[in-house]
Amino acid sequence: MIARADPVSISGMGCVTAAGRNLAENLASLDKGLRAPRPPVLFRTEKRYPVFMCGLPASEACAGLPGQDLSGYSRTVRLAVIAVLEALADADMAPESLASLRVGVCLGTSVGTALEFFDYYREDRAGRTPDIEVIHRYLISNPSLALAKLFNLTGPVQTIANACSSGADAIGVAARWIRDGLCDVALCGGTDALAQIIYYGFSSLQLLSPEPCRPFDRKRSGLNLGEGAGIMVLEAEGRRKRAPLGRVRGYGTATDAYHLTAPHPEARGLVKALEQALAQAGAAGRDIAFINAHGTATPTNDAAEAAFFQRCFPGTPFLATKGCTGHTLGAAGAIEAVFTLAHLRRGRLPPSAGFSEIDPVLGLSPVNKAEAIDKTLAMTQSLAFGGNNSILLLEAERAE
Amino acid sequence: MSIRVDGYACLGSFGRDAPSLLASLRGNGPSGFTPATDLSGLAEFFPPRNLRQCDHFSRLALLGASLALRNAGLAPRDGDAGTVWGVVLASGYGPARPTFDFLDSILEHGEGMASPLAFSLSVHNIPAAILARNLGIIGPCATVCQYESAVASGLLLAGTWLAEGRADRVLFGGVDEHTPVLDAITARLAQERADNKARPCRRRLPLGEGAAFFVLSRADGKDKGSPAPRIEAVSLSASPGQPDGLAPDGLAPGGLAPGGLAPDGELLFASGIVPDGLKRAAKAIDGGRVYGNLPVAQALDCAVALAMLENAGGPEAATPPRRARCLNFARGVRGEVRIAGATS
Repeated sequence: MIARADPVSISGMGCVTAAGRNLAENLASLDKGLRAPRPPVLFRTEKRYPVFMCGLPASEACAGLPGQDLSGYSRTVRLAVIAVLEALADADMAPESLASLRVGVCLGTSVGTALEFFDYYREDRAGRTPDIEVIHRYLISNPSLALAKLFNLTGPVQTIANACSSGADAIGVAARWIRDGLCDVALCGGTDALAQIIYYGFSSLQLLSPEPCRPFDRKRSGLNLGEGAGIMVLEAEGRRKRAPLGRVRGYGTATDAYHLTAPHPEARGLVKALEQALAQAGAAGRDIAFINAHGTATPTNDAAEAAFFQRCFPGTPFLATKGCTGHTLGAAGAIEAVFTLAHLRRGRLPPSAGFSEIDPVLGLSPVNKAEAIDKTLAMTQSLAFGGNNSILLLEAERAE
Repeated sequence: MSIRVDGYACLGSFGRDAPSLLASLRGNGPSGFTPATDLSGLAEFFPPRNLRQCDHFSRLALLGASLALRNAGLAPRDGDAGTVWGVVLASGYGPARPTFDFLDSILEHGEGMASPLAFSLSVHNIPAAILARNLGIIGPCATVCQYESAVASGLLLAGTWLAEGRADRVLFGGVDEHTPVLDAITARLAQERADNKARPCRRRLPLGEGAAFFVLSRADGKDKGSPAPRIEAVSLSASPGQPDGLAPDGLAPGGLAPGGLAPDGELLFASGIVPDGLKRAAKAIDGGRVYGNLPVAQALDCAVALAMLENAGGPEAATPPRRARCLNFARGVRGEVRIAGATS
């Protein structure tokens, strides 16, 4: 059985999504329930499923990294760079200071490792010689390898491809690196950009909603794809005198071994993940102030999570944020970990955008109006293709 | 970190066990490179119904994992109720064929008729999920995907799970598959490197295919009384200032006797984007002739190392090898796996 482990300090956070270019903008959007899904414009499609796209020029990512040309990197990497720069500033660390430390990087992604070669493949299939640049872009854009190079990092490097739990997994893994002394500092989280093949794939699985998504709502009809990145800076407790923002207290992960693209209806793996996370934190369910649900707004995902809440957390508030960000896939677990800690530090929860009517089959509703919280421990959970389930337990140092 | 290796297996065009691979490396087995891996042995382990929707990549993983479990004399379904199994899968590119199958379905039938099965199978963690489902593993399950450094990265993850008690046993594997499209891309990139005279290059190896799996447990676990080889250390670090083409740390010229054996009985393997001249100078064992250009070559190196340590004799060994170092360097990341034989 997994043993209780020391907490790991979180000294900085950053995120970028369609709801905002940084954490403050994201929180403001969540508080107001602002959301603006729109038809995809980054690629050709005959479908009209709306997406949540970050309105960011590539140059914005370059601004914080003088001397680095990011134009050859993928959009997924550029989103990660934006979030890393915000997280480093939040941690009071200059990017150039990282070279003197042993800094590891652990990122989760889906799009970042996918073979997004549609145009190349079509040309090749037609007997023409496609431009090889797209291949070079792919080969330099593995997210963790790219960040290690761009930020001159010398610690361990890992890219986790666990679909939609990847970002949460990356934070859990990086926390272990810190506990084991594999690095002084870890940059961890997740990043994913909107991508053509992924859009076509989710469309083929009939998981996309033609309207803005409605997590846990009676009329939920599927998810909206989104894009973004969420990054945390982790350090060993007490490495610096500066007070941390919070701590990673526990991490659990387990597979359902049930279905390739649907969760176990009774959340079998999620329960196992919870047991691990609580054991590692030395905590009990009653200590948890709220739960950030995965909340994709697909009928099966929300039903499995609802069954889990009914069984393990009756009465504990839970919220869903994908109504404001869309489903950012491999980045989602990390973005929502950032949100979770931010909510804890502020001592209040925003409403769950998109929810309006309770589903009598689920029998519960997410937080649907701003709500104060007083405990300092919260949980965020991510469910993924392949039956992956991952849980992070985060503890806040309350902001003044 | 000390990890007990309870069983292992590898497969590729050379065959489906480490002795076959060793024979090929010694020049006694199939020479030259062909991408076709014989997967007919899967019928020994799974009913056809279980394999019906499995793609080639997942079949490579299923057969490799099954052979490793058989080598270990273990099966997750038959284990103690309290034993937690985990799965870590490492890959350079992930399941490539389903991605191209998915694109074929779009190009041939239109976006509205894209194949949902091909898309599902192309998601990079699905092969690990298929392993878990078919083997009855309800524990931690992860996929690491980062080109040549995936193997050291995945082993590091497996080791941390064992050390923290997240899993009692971990099934770890490295898998990559051949596709004509990726093979053609590999050839184009090799030609580009060859045209760039400023940088030393590797042979123009065709894209390879293969898998190697390992059944791992804590060295101080309940089986500690019986002898078994161990992974003594896994290191993984970025070296951003060191471009491909230079010798990574630990690949010093002339360090070893012929056959890749140091005076103290240590084998050295080298994989990744390391120029052939440097490998030769270090007298490292290079499996490229047999594996082809394979991102997870380091996993096959580890399997060969275990076979050589088990047999206590390398190709031209003057003294029995007792330890092995499997070094990989590519794209600014250095990964090393240190293995000790059961009797060391």
